[in-house]
Amino acid sequence: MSKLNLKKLLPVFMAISIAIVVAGIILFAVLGFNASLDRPVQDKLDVKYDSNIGAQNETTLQNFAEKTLTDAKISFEKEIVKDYTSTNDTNGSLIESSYRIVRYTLSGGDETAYTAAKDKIADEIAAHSGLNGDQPDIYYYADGSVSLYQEQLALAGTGSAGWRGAIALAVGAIVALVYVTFRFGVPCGVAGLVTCAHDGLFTAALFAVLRIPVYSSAPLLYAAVSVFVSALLWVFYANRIRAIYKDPDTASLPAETVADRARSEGWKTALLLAGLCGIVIAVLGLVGTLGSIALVLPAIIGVAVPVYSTFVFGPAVFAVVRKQFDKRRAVRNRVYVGKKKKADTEE
Amino acid sequence: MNKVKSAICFALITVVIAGLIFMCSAMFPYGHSGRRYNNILSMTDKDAQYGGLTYDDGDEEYDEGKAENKERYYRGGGFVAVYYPEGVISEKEYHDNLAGYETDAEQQQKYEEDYRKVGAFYFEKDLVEKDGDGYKPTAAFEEDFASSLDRLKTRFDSLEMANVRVSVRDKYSVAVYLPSVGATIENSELLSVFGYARRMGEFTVAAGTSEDAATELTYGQKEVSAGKYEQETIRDYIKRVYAYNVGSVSAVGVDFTPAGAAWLSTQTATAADGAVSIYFRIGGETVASVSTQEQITASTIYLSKTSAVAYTAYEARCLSAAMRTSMDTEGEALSFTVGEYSFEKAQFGDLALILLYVAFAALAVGMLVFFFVRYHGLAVAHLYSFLIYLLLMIVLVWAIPFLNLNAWTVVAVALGGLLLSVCNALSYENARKEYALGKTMESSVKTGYKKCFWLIFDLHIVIALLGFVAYFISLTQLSVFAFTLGLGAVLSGLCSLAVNRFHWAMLMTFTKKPGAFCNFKREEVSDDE
Repeated sequence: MSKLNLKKLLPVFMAISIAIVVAGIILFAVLGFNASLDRPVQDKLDVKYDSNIGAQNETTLQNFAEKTLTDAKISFEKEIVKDYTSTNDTNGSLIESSYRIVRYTLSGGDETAYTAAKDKIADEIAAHSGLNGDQPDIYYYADGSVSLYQEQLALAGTGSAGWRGAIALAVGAIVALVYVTFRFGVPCGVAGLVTCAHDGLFTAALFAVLRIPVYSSAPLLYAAVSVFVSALLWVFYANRIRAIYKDPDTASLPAETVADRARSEGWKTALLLAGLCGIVIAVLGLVGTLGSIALVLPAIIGVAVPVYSTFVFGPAVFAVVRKQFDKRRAVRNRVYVGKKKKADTEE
Repeated sequence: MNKVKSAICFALITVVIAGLIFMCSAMFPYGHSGRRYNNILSMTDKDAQYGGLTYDDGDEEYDEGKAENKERYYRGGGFVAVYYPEGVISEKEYHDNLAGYETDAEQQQKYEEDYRKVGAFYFEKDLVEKDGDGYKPTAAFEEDFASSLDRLKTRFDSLEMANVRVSVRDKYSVAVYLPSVGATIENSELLSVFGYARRMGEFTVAAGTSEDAATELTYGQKEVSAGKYEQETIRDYIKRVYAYNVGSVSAVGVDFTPAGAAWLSTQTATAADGAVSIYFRIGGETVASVSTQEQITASTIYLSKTSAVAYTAYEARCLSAAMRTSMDTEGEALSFTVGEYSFEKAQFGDLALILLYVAFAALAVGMLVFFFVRYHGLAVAHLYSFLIYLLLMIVLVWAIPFLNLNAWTVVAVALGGLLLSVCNALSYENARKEYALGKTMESSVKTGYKKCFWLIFDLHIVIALLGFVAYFISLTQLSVFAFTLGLGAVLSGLCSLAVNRFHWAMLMTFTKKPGAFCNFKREEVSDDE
């Protein structure tokens, strides 16, 4: 792997990361994540009826709805979204029956027009004697409101759950990297913490900036995947650094050279490990239904970000932290040497 | 370890693994009463959005006419109930009721006069006011409805269950979604669960020989600071209400304060002469009661559904949440009536969980193919370690109450498995290098492990720390993912550093050519050297 001037490149990496993270925070504050997967963005009209009413009645029913919408100059797309069993509480007992829901996705009007159309359809259906006794239900869902049949997916990632999740990841990373500090030294711990925090934030920011459609609880989990993979790769990297410092031939090398050498020597392992994590997520994501694919597959971004970090951002941060750490240590040593000299003079 | 000991150990481990595989995957009927042996995987709680087998897909022999067998198939999804505020009914219910008075024109007319149409609903006439040609709800109703809705949301939030949702539908009806937890929820249980939550209003406790004759607990004044008094509340008598589970039996526990315990003792002092009942009411309706024929001197009582029937876990959880949230809210609010119940299929489809299993199996097969090609017989050691890891993870996910099976649990288990595979491969590669230098297999394994021990140890500790700490702070799906990954890291570490090495040592006793067995080769030395 080619040698990088980490000292010169750190400001560039920092600028890229800060720009994306700040843009992500602003976009998240203003627009939130693009949670269109669990929040329908269109107005919808549901016509729900007993699926045993017969084909003719079914056609009549749908014709009522479609004619009313056409007369009101409302464009629509039709789909049968549900065939399901309902249990009704009648006289204290439960009776199972089958229902069908035809959903019209509306456009070309406003909420007032849609509500009026809905009322008109309901009135027309109520007036139609052939359907008496099995009155269909008509529901209107305004733009952005959570639909009954989508609501299950509405998230658990906003509000206190979101903030607690973010704090949980941060505290978890701190505790884990206290261990890294204990094992590999302060510069490795500090740089690892910065890298983990960066990866979590950077991943979440990418989802906010690129407006990738997600279930609203998911970005937190993608950030979590990112933090976990980042910590995993960092341990490998820290292990390389320790090996370099343990070797008497390379122990006295400058921090930048050590960081770059560890990066060059460990990139294959890091790439292999990240690649395997990516394969696991890709296979689990791709072999699924459409809903679960949309949930799991974007987590691959949470694996890609730590690869960038471990190759370029992390080593650059480590080089700077290690250099500062060495400087401080040298200052401390000088003070000690001074006192010793004084003592020698007195003798 | 000699060959005989190794063979015994290997056989025992094989039997244990086979037993665990049987427990985790086998499912079959037995006996003549339609009983079924359920495997651990089928009994594990699943996220409601991931459908597995629907009950219709099951063995018809056991479905036919046997509802209790149908319940045993996991189907995902959950239950939706539509709540209407008191005094409001759906258009359908209005027409159905009206049709019921078909033979009595007077009653029909009276019924029509009592209701006014507002949007998709019919409101009792007192709840609406004229609005142009039509009607609109009064401001007081709107206010009460908003307050009741808040209480309903708080009530379901306090269940602290994933996927529970409360949303307003068509302005004045509320749809509540409860996930189907496992496969055991039955219609009667569902009716109770939705029924407990619908009651709003003040929480009161009464005691007496019958419900009508019961006298309610009255609140006095309490001194809050020198010379300052304020009205007592139910919180001065009841400390907490909670679901209490012992095995498959659940109850609602009520802890009284000393003042509450004193009241309870006084009220039940005459219980020996005739049974005294304690009634717990929300908005004036009794939601639970307990009868005693002895004076109660304890400060905690446990409520069951009836004297002979215990609550289910779901019922106890929902009832205690309803009682608890009512205790902390003051003033009257609109109660709800429960209109329609329906079962909603899993949002990710009926096959979502099966496909996750398939994906996991594909990854496992790919990993094993690599190990068998690269390490020949040594791959058996890894296979055994991996199986032990996987089977223990399945058992733990089933046994730990707050864990459930969803895409993120599977991702966490798979990442833990990946960690185990990588660490095993790392130790094998280190041993391979040592063996190539001409060392014996025993020495190669020892040195190989020694070289990578701390790296493997560090990797697992860091992931486990991160997972467990994140679990303790976070909520919902993240906590499940983090905890499962932490658990996976611990098991992976044990399997990699201890179990795998033990298997390796055992396997080596069965072969006379360990190098060929493990596909390890000596470094070729040229004759010149």
